[in-house]
Amino acid sequence: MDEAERRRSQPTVNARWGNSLSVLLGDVLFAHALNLSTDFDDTNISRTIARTATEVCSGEMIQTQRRFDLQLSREEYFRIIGMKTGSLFACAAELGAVISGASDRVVRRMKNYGVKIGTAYQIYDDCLDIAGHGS
Amino acid sequence: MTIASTSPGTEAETGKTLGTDLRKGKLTLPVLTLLESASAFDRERCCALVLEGKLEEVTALLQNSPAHDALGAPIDTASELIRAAQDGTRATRPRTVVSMPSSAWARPCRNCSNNCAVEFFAGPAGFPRKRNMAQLKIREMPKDDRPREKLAARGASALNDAELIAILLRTGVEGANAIEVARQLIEEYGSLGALSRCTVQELAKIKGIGFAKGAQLAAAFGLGQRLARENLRAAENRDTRSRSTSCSEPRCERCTRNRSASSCSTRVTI
Repeated sequence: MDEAERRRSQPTVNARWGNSLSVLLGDVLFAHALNLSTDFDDTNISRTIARTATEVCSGEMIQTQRRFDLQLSREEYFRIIGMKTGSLFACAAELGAVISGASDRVVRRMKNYGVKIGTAYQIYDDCLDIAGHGS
Repeated sequence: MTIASTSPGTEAETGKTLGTDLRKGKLTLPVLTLLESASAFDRERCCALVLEGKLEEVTALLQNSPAHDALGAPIDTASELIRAAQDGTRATRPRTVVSMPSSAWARPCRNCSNNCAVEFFAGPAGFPRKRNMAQLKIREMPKDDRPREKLAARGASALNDAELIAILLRTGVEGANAIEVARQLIEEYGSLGALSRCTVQELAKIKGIGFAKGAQLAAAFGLGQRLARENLRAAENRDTRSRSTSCSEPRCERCTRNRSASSCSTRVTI
Protein backbone atom coordinates (compact mmCIF):
# COMPACT_ATOMS: atom_id res chain seq x y z
CA MET A 1 0.00 0.00 0.00
CA ASP A 2 2.83 2.38 0.80
CA GLU A 3 4.61 1.23 -2.36
CA ALA A 4 7.74 0.67 -0.32
CA GLU A 5 10.62 -0.94 -2.16
CA ARG A 6 12.07 -2.89 0.74
CA ARG A 7 10.85 -4.72 3.80
CA ARG A 8 13.04 -6.75 6.13
CA SER A 9 15.95 -5.87 3.84
CA GLN A 10 14.27 -7.71 0.98
CA PRO A 11 12.61 -6.29 -2.12
CA THR A 12 8.85 -6.13 -1.52
CA VAL A 13 6.41 -8.24 -3.51
CA ASN A 14 5.16 -4.96 -4.90
CA ALA A 15 8.64 -3.96 -6.12
CA ARG A 16 9.19 -7.35 -7.73
CA TRP A 17 5.86 -8.28 -9.20
CA GLY A 18 3.74 -5.13 -9.11
CA ASN A 19 0.55 -4.03 -7.46
CA SER A 20 -2.08 -6.45 -8.75
CA LEU A 21 -0.02 -9.47 -7.78
CA SER A 22 0.62 -8.01 -4.34
CA VAL A 23 -3.10 -7.48 -3.77
CA LEU A 24 -3.86 -11.04 -4.85
CA LEU A 25 -1.10 -12.39 -2.62
CA GLY A 26 -2.64 -10.50 0.29
CA ASP A 27 -6.01 -12.10 -0.49
CA VAL A 28 -4.34 -15.51 -0.58
CA LEU A 29 -2.81 -14.90 2.85
CA PHE A 30 -6.16 -13.95 4.40
CA ALA A 31 -7.77 -16.99 2.80
CA HIS A 32 -4.91 -19.15 4.04
CA ALA A 33 -5.38 -17.90 7.60
CA LEU A 34 -9.06 -18.83 7.43
CA ASN A 35 -8.19 -22.18 5.94
CA LEU A 36 -5.82 -22.92 8.83
CA SER A 37 -8.44 -21.81 11.33
CA THR A 38 -10.78 -24.59 10.18
CA ASP A 39 -8.49 -27.03 12.02
CA PHE A 40 -10.30 -25.90 15.15
CA ASP A 41 -13.76 -27.01 16.11
CA ASP A 42 -14.41 -23.63 17.73
CA THR A 43 -15.89 -21.37 15.03
CA ASN A 44 -15.10 -18.33 17.19
CA ILE A 45 -11.50 -18.66 16.04
CA SER A 46 -12.25 -18.29 12.34
CA ARG A 47 -14.79 -15.57 13.17
CA THR A 48 -12.14 -13.58 15.04
CA ILE A 49 -9.70 -13.94 12.15
CA ALA A 50 -12.29 -12.86 9.57
CA ARG A 51 -13.37 -9.88 11.70
CA THR A 52 -9.76 -8.86 12.15
CA ALA A 53 -9.22 -8.95 8.38
CA THR A 54 -12.27 -6.70 7.95
CA GLU A 55 -11.04 -4.34 10.64
CA VAL A 56 -7.47 -4.10 9.30
CA CYS A 57 -8.66 -3.43 5.75
CA SER A 58 -11.27 -0.89 6.92
CA GLY A 59 -8.58 0.94 8.89
CA GLU A 60 -6.39 1.09 5.80
CA MET A 61 -9.35 2.29 3.71
CA ILE A 62 -10.14 5.13 6.12
CA GLN A 63 -6.47 6.09 6.19
CA THR A 64 -6.39 6.15 2.40
CA GLN A 65 -9.51 8.33 2.28
CA ARG A 66 -8.04 10.79 4.74
CA ARG A 67 -4.75 11.30 2.94
CA PHE A 68 -3.59 14.93 2.77
CA ASP A 69 -6.52 15.84 5.03
CA LEU A 70 -5.13 18.42 7.42
CA GLN A 71 -8.37 18.33 9.43
CA LEU A 72 -7.52 14.83 10.65
CA SER A 73 -7.74 14.87 14.42
CA ARG A 74 -5.65 13.01 16.96
CA GLU A 75 -8.71 10.90 17.89
CA GLU A 76 -9.24 9.90 14.27
CA TYR A 77 -5.58 8.95 13.96
CA PHE A 78 -5.87 6.71 17.02
CA ARG A 79 -9.04 5.15 15.65
CA ILE A 80 -7.29 4.37 12.35
CA ILE A 81 -4.17 2.82 13.88
CA GLY A 82 -6.32 0.96 16.41
CA MET A 83 -8.12 -0.65 13.48
CA LYS A 84 -5.23 -1.32 11.15
CA THR A 85 -2.60 -2.43 13.69
CA GLY A 86 -4.20 -2.67 17.13
CA SER A 87 -6.81 -5.18 15.98
CA LEU A 88 -4.15 -7.31 14.30
CA PHE A 89 -2.06 -7.59 17.48
CA ALA A 90 -5.25 -8.06 19.51
CA CYS A 91 -6.27 -11.00 17.33
CA ALA A 92 -2.92 -12.73 17.90
CA ALA A 93 -2.98 -12.13 21.66
CA GLU A 94 -6.65 -13.07 22.02
CA LEU A 95 -6.46 -16.29 20.02
CA GLY A 96 -3.29 -17.31 21.84
CA ALA A 97 -5.26 -17.12 25.07
CA VAL A 98 -8.31 -18.88 23.57
CA ILE A 99 -6.25 -21.77 22.25
CA SER A 100 -4.54 -22.16 25.61
CA GLY A 101 -7.93 -22.62 27.23
CA ALA A 102 -7.82 -19.37 29.23
CA SER A 103 -10.91 -17.98 30.94
CA ASP A 104 -13.07 -15.30 29.27
CA ARG A 105 -11.61 -12.70 31.60
CA VAL A 106 -8.05 -13.55 30.59
CA VAL A 107 -9.03 -13.64 26.90
CA ARG A 108 -10.51 -10.13 27.20
CA ARG A 109 -7.41 -8.84 28.94
CA MET A 110 -5.10 -10.37 26.38
CA LYS A 111 -7.13 -8.76 23.61
CA ASN A 112 -6.81 -5.42 25.33
CA TYR A 113 -3.08 -6.02 25.73
CA GLY A 114 -2.82 -6.65 21.98
CA VAL A 115 -4.68 -3.44 21.10
CA LYS A 116 -2.33 -1.38 23.27
CA ILE A 117 0.88 -3.04 22.10
CA GLY A 118 -0.25 -2.83 18.47
CA THR A 119 -1.12 0.86 18.81
CA ALA A 120 2.21 1.57 20.49
CA TYR A 121 4.02 -0.36 17.76
CA GLN A 122 2.30 1.70 15.06
CA ILE A 123 3.21 4.98 16.75
CA TYR A 124 6.87 3.90 16.96
CA ASP A 125 6.74 2.77 13.36
CA ASP A 126 5.26 6.10 12.28
CA CYS A 127 7.97 7.97 14.16
CA LEU A 128 10.60 5.77 12.60
CA ASP A 129 9.25 6.48 9.14
CA ILE A 130 9.90 10.17 9.64
CA ALA A 131 12.86 10.14 12.02
CA GLY A 132 14.76 7.47 10.16
CA HIS A 133 14.32 9.10 6.81
CA GLY A 134 17.32 10.99 5.54
CA SER A 135 19.31 10.57 8.73
CA MET B 1 12.74 1.25 23.13
CA THR B 2 13.09 4.92 22.54
CA ILE B 3 13.64 5.75 18.95
CA ALA B 4 14.28 9.48 19.19
CA SER B 5 16.84 9.32 21.96
CA THR B 6 18.92 6.65 20.27
CA SER B 7 19.75 6.41 16.61
CA PRO B 8 16.47 6.55 14.70
CA GLY B 9 17.62 3.90 12.32
CA THR B 10 18.46 4.20 8.67
CA GLU B 11 16.82 2.24 5.88
CA ALA B 12 19.67 -0.27 6.06
CA GLU B 13 19.13 -0.76 9.78
CA THR B 14 15.35 -1.00 9.68
CA GLY B 15 15.38 -3.02 6.48
CA LYS B 16 12.55 -1.08 4.88
CA THR B 17 11.80 1.96 2.81
CA LEU B 18 11.29 4.95 5.07
CA GLY B 19 9.52 8.24 4.52
CA THR B 20 6.66 6.61 2.66
CA ASP B 21 3.93 7.98 4.96
CA LEU B 22 4.47 11.63 4.15
CA ARG B 23 5.05 10.93 0.50
CA LYS B 24 1.63 9.26 0.46
CA GLY B 25 -0.02 12.05 2.45
CA LYS B 26 -0.51 9.94 5.58
CA LEU B 27 -0.67 12.20 8.58
CA THR B 28 0.89 10.36 11.46
CA LEU B 29 1.22 11.30 15.12
CA PRO B 30 4.53 13.19 14.79
CA VAL B 31 3.07 15.36 12.02
CA LEU B 32 -0.20 15.87 13.93
CA THR B 33 1.77 16.85 17.02
CA LEU B 34 3.85 19.27 14.99
CA LEU B 35 0.73 20.85 13.47
CA GLU B 36 -1.01 21.09 16.85
CA SER B 37 1.86 22.73 18.63
CA ALA B 38 3.10 25.04 15.88
CA SER B 39 2.39 28.73 15.84
CA ALA B 40 -0.13 29.96 13.25
CA PHE B 41 2.67 30.99 10.91
CA ASP B 42 4.59 27.72 11.28
CA ARG B 43 1.42 25.74 10.95
CA GLU B 44 0.57 27.33 7.64
CA ARG B 45 4.08 26.73 6.36
CA CYS B 46 3.97 23.19 7.64
CA CYS B 47 0.60 22.48 6.04
CA ALA B 48 1.88 23.73 2.73
CA LEU B 49 4.94 21.51 2.96
CA VAL B 50 2.80 18.48 3.84
CA LEU B 51 0.40 19.10 0.98
CA GLU B 52 3.23 19.59 -1.46
CA GLY B 53 4.82 16.43 -0.21
CA LYS B 54 8.06 18.22 0.68
CA LEU B 55 9.36 15.30 2.60
CA GLU B 56 12.84 16.59 3.37
CA GLU B 57 11.58 19.92 4.69
CA VAL B 58 8.94 18.40 6.96
CA THR B 59 11.45 15.87 8.27
CA ALA B 60 13.93 18.63 8.96
CA LEU B 61 11.25 20.65 10.72
CA LEU B 62 10.29 17.67 12.87
CA GLN B 63 13.82 16.74 13.75
CA ASN B 64 15.26 20.17 14.29
CA SER B 65 12.57 21.70 16.44
CA PRO B 66 12.97 20.18 19.89
CA ALA B 67 10.62 22.81 21.30
CA HIS B 68 7.80 21.16 19.39
CA ASP B 69 8.81 17.78 20.69
CA ALA B 70 6.98 16.32 17.74
CA LEU B 71 8.90 13.05 17.96
CA GLY B 72 9.43 12.85 21.71
CA ALA B 73 5.75 13.26 22.62
CA PRO B 74 4.44 10.44 20.38
CA ILE B 75 7.18 8.13 21.67
CA ASP B 76 6.17 8.96 25.22
CA THR B 77 2.56 8.15 24.27
CA ALA B 78 3.68 4.79 22.85
CA SER B 79 5.79 4.00 25.91
CA GLU B 80 2.82 4.84 28.13
CA LEU B 81 0.64 2.45 26.09
CA ILE B 82 3.17 -0.35 26.55
CA ARG B 83 3.26 0.26 30.30
CA ALA B 84 -0.55 0.22 30.40
CA ALA B 85 -0.61 -2.99 28.35
CA GLN B 86 1.81 -4.68 30.74
CA ASP B 87 -0.11 -3.46 33.78
CA GLY B 88 -3.33 -4.78 32.29
CA THR B 89 -1.99 -8.31 32.05
CA ARG B 90 -0.18 -8.39 35.37
CA ALA B 91 -3.25 -9.43 37.33
CA THR B 92 -4.09 -12.15 34.84
CA ARG B 93 -0.83 -14.03 35.26
CA PRO B 94 -1.47 -16.93 37.61
CA ARG B 95 0.63 -16.39 40.69
CA THR B 96 1.75 -20.01 40.74
CA VAL B 97 3.27 -19.89 37.27
CA VAL B 98 5.85 -17.35 38.36
CA SER B 99 7.56 -19.74 40.72
CA MET B 100 6.85 -22.88 38.71
CA PRO B 101 9.27 -24.20 36.13
CA SER B 102 7.73 -24.14 32.69
CA SER B 103 7.96 -27.93 32.59
CA ALA B 104 5.22 -28.07 35.20
CA TRP B 105 2.56 -26.74 32.90
CA ALA B 106 4.11 -27.39 29.52
CA ARG B 107 5.13 -31.00 29.31
CA PRO B 108 7.61 -31.78 26.55
CA CYS B 109 6.29 -33.11 23.29
CA ARG B 110 6.45 -36.85 22.95
CA ASN B 111 7.24 -36.64 19.28
CA CYS B 112 10.48 -34.76 19.48
CA SER B 113 13.35 -33.99 21.75
CA ASN B 114 12.89 -30.22 21.47
CA ASN B 115 10.85 -29.80 24.65
CA CYS B 116 8.06 -28.17 22.71
CA ALA B 117 5.02 -27.58 24.81
CA VAL B 118 2.42 -29.75 23.16
CA GLU B 119 0.46 -30.54 26.29
CA PHE B 120 0.06 -26.83 26.87
CA PHE B 121 -1.46 -26.33 23.44
CA ALA B 122 -3.58 -29.41 23.82
CA GLY B 123 -5.20 -27.25 26.46
CA PRO B 124 -5.25 -27.70 30.21
CA ALA B 125 -8.95 -26.87 30.13
CA GLY B 126 -9.64 -29.51 27.51
CA PHE B 127 -9.74 -27.11 24.63
CA PRO B 128 -11.59 -28.80 21.79
CA ARG B 129 -8.84 -28.93 19.22
CA LYS B 130 -9.42 -31.26 16.38
CA ARG B 131 -5.90 -32.54 16.14
CA ASN B 132 -3.01 -32.89 18.52
CA MET B 133 0.68 -33.03 17.66
CA ALA B 134 0.64 -36.80 17.06
CA GLN B 135 -2.17 -36.41 14.56
CA LEU B 136 -0.55 -33.51 12.80
CA LYS B 137 0.89 -34.48 9.45
CA ILE B 138 4.65 -34.17 9.41
CA ARG B 139 4.53 -31.64 6.60
CA GLU B 140 2.30 -29.51 8.83
CA MET B 141 4.86 -29.52 11.64
CA PRO B 142 7.37 -26.68 12.02
CA LYS B 143 10.23 -27.32 9.61
CA ASP B 144 12.82 -27.66 12.37
CA ASP B 145 10.80 -30.43 14.03
CA ARG B 146 10.40 -32.58 10.93
CA PRO B 147 12.64 -35.67 11.14
CA ARG B 148 14.16 -35.42 7.65
CA GLU B 149 14.95 -31.72 7.99
CA LYS B 150 16.35 -32.29 11.47
CA LEU B 151 18.52 -35.14 10.21
CA ALA B 152 19.84 -33.05 7.34
CA ALA B 153 20.56 -30.05 9.55
CA ARG B 154 21.86 -31.65 12.73
CA GLY B 155 22.74 -35.23 11.93
CA ALA B 156 21.24 -38.55 13.06
CA SER B 157 22.38 -38.11 16.66
CA ALA B 158 19.95 -35.20 17.06
CA LEU B 159 16.96 -37.48 16.42
CA ASN B 160 15.33 -39.78 18.94
CA ASP B 161 14.56 -43.42 18.11
CA ALA B 162 10.98 -42.71 17.04
CA GLU B 163 12.07 -39.95 14.68
CA LEU B 164 14.71 -42.15 13.05
CA ILE B 165 12.20 -44.95 12.54
CA ALA B 166 9.67 -42.40 11.24
CA ILE B 167 12.09 -41.53 8.43
CA LEU B 168 12.08 -45.19 7.37
CA LEU B 169 8.31 -45.47 7.66
CA ARG B 170 7.76 -42.27 5.64
CA THR B 171 4.02 -42.18 6.25
CA GLY B 172 1.73 -42.76 9.19
CA VAL B 173 -1.91 -43.77 9.34
CA GLU B 174 -5.12 -41.78 9.66
CA GLY B 175 -4.94 -40.01 13.00
CA ALA B 176 -1.29 -40.85 13.75
CA ASN B 177 1.72 -39.54 11.90
CA ALA B 178 4.83 -41.59 11.17
CA ILE B 179 6.53 -40.42 14.38
CA GLU B 180 3.53 -41.52 16.43
CA VAL B 181 3.40 -44.92 14.71
CA ALA B 182 7.13 -45.34 15.41
CA ARG B 183 6.71 -44.28 19.02
CA GLN B 184 3.91 -46.78 19.56
CA LEU B 185 6.03 -49.46 17.94
CA ILE B 186 8.95 -48.90 20.32
CA GLU B 187 6.59 -48.67 23.26
CA GLU B 188 4.94 -51.96 22.34
CA TYR B 189 8.20 -53.90 22.11
CA GLY B 190 9.86 -52.11 24.99
CA SER B 191 13.23 -51.53 23.35
CA LEU B 192 15.00 -51.14 20.04
CA GLY B 193 16.70 -54.48 20.64
CA ALA B 194 13.39 -56.28 21.01
CA LEU B 195 12.03 -54.55 17.94
CA SER B 196 15.11 -55.48 15.91
CA ARG B 197 14.51 -59.17 16.59
CA CYS B 198 11.04 -59.07 15.01
CA THR B 199 10.53 -60.86 11.73
CA VAL B 200 9.05 -59.11 8.72
CA GLN B 201 5.85 -61.10 9.21
CA GLU B 202 5.51 -59.96 12.81
CA LEU B 203 6.12 -56.33 11.88
CA ALA B 204 3.71 -56.53 8.94
CA LYS B 205 0.84 -57.38 11.28
CA ILE B 206 1.13 -54.07 13.14
CA LYS B 207 -1.29 -51.30 12.13
CA GLY B 208 0.47 -48.73 9.98
CA ILE B 209 3.42 -50.99 9.12
CA GLY B 210 2.46 -53.64 6.58
CA PHE B 211 4.75 -55.81 4.48
CA ALA B 212 6.81 -53.14 2.68
CA LYS B 213 7.53 -51.08 5.78
CA GLY B 214 8.14 -54.24 7.80
CA ALA B 215 10.77 -55.30 5.26
CA GLN B 216 12.31 -51.81 5.32
CA LEU B 217 12.59 -51.90 9.09
CA ALA B 218 14.03 -55.41 9.12
CA ALA B 219 16.55 -54.40 6.45
CA ALA B 220 17.58 -51.30 8.44
CA PHE B 221 18.05 -53.36 11.60
CA GLY B 222 19.98 -55.95 9.60
CA LEU B 223 22.29 -53.25 8.26
CA GLY B 224 22.75 -51.90 11.76
CA GLN B 225 23.74 -55.34 13.01
CA ARG B 226 26.24 -55.82 10.18
CA LEU B 227 27.76 -52.42 10.83
CA ALA B 228 28.08 -53.24 14.52
CA ARG B 229 29.73 -56.56 13.67
CA GLU B 230 32.07 -54.85 11.21
CA ASN B 231 33.13 -52.32 13.82
CA LEU B 232 33.65 -55.07 16.34
CA ARG B 233 35.79 -57.03 13.90
CA ALA B 234 37.87 -53.95 13.08
CA ALA B 235 38.45 -53.34 16.77
CA GLU B 236 39.46 -56.94 17.32
CA ASN B 237 41.85 -56.80 14.36
CA ARG B 238 43.55 -53.83 15.89
CA ASP B 239 43.89 -55.80 19.12
CA THR B 240 45.33 -58.79 17.31
CA ARG B 241 47.84 -56.76 15.35
CA SER B 242 49.08 -55.08 18.48
CA ARG B 243 50.05 -58.47 19.90
CA SER B 244 53.06 -59.22 17.71
CA THR B 245 53.45 -62.82 18.91
CA SER B 246 50.13 -63.91 17.54
CA CYS B 247 50.90 -62.64 14.04
CA SER B 248 52.37 -65.89 12.83
CA GLU B 249 49.70 -68.08 14.34
CA PRO B 250 47.22 -69.68 11.96
CA ARG B 251 43.71 -68.21 11.81
CA CYS B 252 41.01 -69.91 13.76
CA GLU B 253 38.89 -71.92 11.39
CA ARG B 254 36.00 -72.54 13.71
CA CYS B 255 34.66 -69.04 13.72
CA THR B 256 34.27 -66.15 11.32
CA ARG B 257 36.24 -63.79 13.54
CA ASN B 258 39.74 -62.93 12.46
CA ARG B 259 41.29 -64.41 15.54
CA SER B 260 44.33 -66.56 15.80
CA ALA B 261 43.57 -70.16 16.62
CA SER B 262 45.11 -70.08 20.09
CA SER B 263 43.42 -66.87 21.24
CA CYS B 264 39.97 -67.75 19.90
CA SER B 265 37.53 -68.44 22.65
CA THR B 266 34.67 -69.57 20.43
CA ARG B 267 33.50 -72.96 21.48
CA VAL B 268 32.09 -75.28 18.90
CA THR B 269 29.59 -77.66 20.35
CA ILE B 270 28.93 -80.84 18.51
